[in-house]
Amino acid sequence: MSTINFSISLLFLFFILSCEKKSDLKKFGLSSINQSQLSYKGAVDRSIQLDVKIKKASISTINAHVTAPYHSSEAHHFQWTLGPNVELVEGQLKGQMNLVKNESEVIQIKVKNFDSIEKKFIRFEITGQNQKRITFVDAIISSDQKDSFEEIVKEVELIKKENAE
Amino acid sequence: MNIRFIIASILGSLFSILLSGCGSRYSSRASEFVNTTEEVVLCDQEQTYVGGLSLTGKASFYKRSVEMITELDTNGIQQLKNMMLGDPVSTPLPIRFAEVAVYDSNNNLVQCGKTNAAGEIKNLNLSANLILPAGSGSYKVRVLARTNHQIGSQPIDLLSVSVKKDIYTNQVYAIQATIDSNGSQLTAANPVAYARQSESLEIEGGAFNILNNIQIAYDYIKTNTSSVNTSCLSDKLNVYWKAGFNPMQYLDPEADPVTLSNTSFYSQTLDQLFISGGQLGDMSLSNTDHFDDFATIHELGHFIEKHCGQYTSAGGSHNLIFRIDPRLAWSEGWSNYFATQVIKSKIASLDSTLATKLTNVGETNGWTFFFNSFGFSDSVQNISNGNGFIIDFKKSGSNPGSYTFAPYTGKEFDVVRPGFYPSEGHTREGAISRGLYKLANDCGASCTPINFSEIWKAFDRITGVAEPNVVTPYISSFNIIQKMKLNGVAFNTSHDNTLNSEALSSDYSLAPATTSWPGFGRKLGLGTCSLSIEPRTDDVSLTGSNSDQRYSNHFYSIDLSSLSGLTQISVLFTYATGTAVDHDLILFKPGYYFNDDYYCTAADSSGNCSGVWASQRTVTEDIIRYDRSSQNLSAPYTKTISNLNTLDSSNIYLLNIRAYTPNINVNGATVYNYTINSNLGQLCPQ
Repeated sequence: MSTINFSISLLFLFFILSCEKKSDLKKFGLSSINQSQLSYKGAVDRSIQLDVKIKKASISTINAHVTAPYHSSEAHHFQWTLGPNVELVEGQLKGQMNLVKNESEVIQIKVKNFDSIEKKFIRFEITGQNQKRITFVDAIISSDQKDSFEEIVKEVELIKKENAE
Repeated sequence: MNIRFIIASILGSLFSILLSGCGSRYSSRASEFVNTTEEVVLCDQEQTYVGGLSLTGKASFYKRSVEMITELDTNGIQQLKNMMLGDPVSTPLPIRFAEVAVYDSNNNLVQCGKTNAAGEIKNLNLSANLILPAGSGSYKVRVLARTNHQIGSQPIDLLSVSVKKDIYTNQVYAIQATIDSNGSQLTAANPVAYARQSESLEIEGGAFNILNNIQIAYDYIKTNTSSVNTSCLSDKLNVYWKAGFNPMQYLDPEADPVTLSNTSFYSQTLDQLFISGGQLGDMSLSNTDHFDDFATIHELGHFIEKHCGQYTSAGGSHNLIFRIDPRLAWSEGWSNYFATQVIKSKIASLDSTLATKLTNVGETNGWTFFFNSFGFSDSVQNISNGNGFIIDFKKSGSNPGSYTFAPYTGKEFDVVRPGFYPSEGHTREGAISRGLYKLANDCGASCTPINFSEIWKAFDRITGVAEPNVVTPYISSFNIIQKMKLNGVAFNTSHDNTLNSEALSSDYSLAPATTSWPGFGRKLGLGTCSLSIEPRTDDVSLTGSNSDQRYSNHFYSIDLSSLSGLTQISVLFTYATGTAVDHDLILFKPGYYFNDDYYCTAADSSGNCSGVWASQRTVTEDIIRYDRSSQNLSAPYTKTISNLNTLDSSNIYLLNIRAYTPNINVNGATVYNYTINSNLGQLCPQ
């Protein structure tokens, strides 16, 4: 078994190295974007990590995995907003949470009608303050993300990048 | 089953999954976009058909209308609280001056035309109906979201705009109608672009609304600057928009589209507009801007500034809650004002129902707002997610209203306190927006507003701050206001009071310097002067570069061509009151990004800060000389930059005298006096 574990570990190492992304913190500061944006949510601290997992079924389960790099001294607020024809079966659409540094907290809802061929959407956001910094993170969750143009752009730019190398 | 076979299968599957995860398999849809296609050539050659048939018809589009959200005030009177996008307008708007291309049943191009101001399909010079070949058959009449139309007295005065689907195919949006000829008569062509996805998946109404916004904005400029050459507007403008798509993905293609920020933007590098159509296919919960006239005209304002004025902003995020880089504050303030002015002045051409809606909620001054929507409500689709936020530019700088939604709930829209923070308005886009709006529309009961043309003439390349003989790479609102005065605009006390109420003082005052702003980018020359700087605690509500642009930084232009022989600048800092603070000298190149004095200790794979913001004292490639050494603060100290004679003397550089304040709690009364010395003698702002 140790041989198998070692092999799998090597595979994951290969995966991590070959898929490593370059970080560019300038994009998230105030002064480094060579463009003008019309403020929507603007410059906020998006340091809260949000990873949304979907388990699609007749009653779909949506888990928002929330991890903060700090202990929150003040409660943070979360909110789900359901798109047209999506129905809540279980869970709270609004609430508060206290974040513990580097500990993932899962906020779950269960909904109906999120597995149909017709695209459905759910919005999730967290707002709060940490040491007077405004923290915010939001997500749009699609029942058919693979069909989005954002995914096409991701693929096209990856192809171009690989072709250029 | 053999255990080795099972293990091999598992490993094989893992390889497959992992390789797939690394992106080695591409969808066929992606392959369609890998090669960039040029935009289809303009249909601008009219064909002559003797004895042909006359085509009639009208092209129109629907847009979502803005709805008022009201509340009762303390006296029980209904007042405006917010706005949102609601149902489409009941009567479609004309598609004006758009390209028309007619194809026969074999898809051969047979005629080119254009729509007129009423949306009617006409020939290319709009003088007559479009003529198609005689004989029976069917035709496709395509109306494109593209304009190439003369809008001024000279042929060079063109409106040249395309609204396109994506940056790869460069496909121009179009709607079409199929018409039939019985040999003696054509059926009418009345193509319509819709605003509801239930009526058209691509909601082409969004593309034609963006086109209409741009046309209306150009109309406004032309009408109100009749004696001025505005041929600068003729430069081709490309706009990219797609329903349900967040264009930020173009900028950051590796980012997770689920959590990527969603916004419209003008790219200075690409010189193109990108308008948000939603996110991941969603429009009812996301930020969208294709029906936000304010948003598209705002972004257009940046394109116009680049082409007709001088765009010196390095860009960046801006929230109207804190003091920012004066270049960015001016650029955003100008665009806010421009969008508000256009909507106010041309409201009937943008939405004929809007003026009445405003009147019905007691808004008798018409449109005076910054407005950005997110989501929409629709009575047919049974959607009620409409929301947004408004800033009323007719409100006072001391009581401008505040955000009503998270994460900024309760934070005032660039509130200014001219008595406490003189001239801070030049670092606040909200103050600049309000100041310009009031100056041009509402400067007091007995005050004659300044004409838009006077603002334009202070802004453009012919008589304004972008004039080649006086051009500076560092423009703030102060330059514009000063230029208006230099151009002879009759400012009276009411105009000055209007500007002063927004902390947009147009006078420099060096003594006492503690209550003045030394200006942004003023040139240094030989002289004698007393200068002071008032360091302040960084704004912790920001992430990254939060050094106070009004207080902790002074900025002066260094024009080496007028300071011949300059080799060295030394600044002597002398503590006066408050907290002991170190200061740095930084010499920026034109187009600089203000370098952060913070860095994030850790980042996730998408580049988001997942650590803490720690102090740093580094330099960037935009800094050409500097002295960021640490000093003993118990006595006066000097910072020096040298070898200035080796710099390119054709450039104008910016000297940043910066208090080093990251993570320091600075007493609010802190003052340092300083003297700028050089090998040529003392230097002072001119």
